[in-house]
Amino acid sequence: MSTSDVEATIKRISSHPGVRGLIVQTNEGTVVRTTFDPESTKLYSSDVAQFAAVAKSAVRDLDPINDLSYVRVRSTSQEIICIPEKQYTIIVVCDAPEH
Amino acid sequence: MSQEIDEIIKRITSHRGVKGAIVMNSEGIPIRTTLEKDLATHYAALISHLTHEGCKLVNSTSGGKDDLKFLRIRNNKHEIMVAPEGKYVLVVIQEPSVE
Repeated sequence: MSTSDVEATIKRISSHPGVRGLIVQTNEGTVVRTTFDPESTKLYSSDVAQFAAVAKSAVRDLDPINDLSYVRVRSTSQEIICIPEKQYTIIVVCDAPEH
Repeated sequence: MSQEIDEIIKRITSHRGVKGAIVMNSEGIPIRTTLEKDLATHYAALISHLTHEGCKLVNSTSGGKDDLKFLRIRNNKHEIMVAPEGKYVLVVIQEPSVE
């Protein structure tokens, strides 16, 4: 996937209605791309990655062959989606969908 | 009331792809389950911890304003849906439908 493809994908996701922002970071927590302001980036980056690690270990604990695909956390006003991949983790924050 | 709970659990678990459901209390002890006891206890303990972490995440990213409404954990084999409500937590495990 070329850099322009990556940028186009990030632009497409973050321009989706309701999407507040997106972070792409390495599995060590280094932010590679973000559409958030620095403060929000810092906040989401560390907390979500930490939560995803807990989720991943819970999944492995239940079944060692199994692995986490993604995790979605919905709260009153927002939804956080975290997708850990081989080298990177994608975090998307959007408005909570209305029922 | 107990009958109502049983009917709701029956309705959920009769859905195609649903492997099982657990109703647990705030301490992570399953009080109703359609899975075998050991497995339900294992799930309940891990999910309880994960739910707690999810609440912490929601709190830290919303400045204490939001509550955790729903949690969705997808792994290779199935999807775990967690709905905390007051003193209880509903956990449903389903095989994601083939599209």
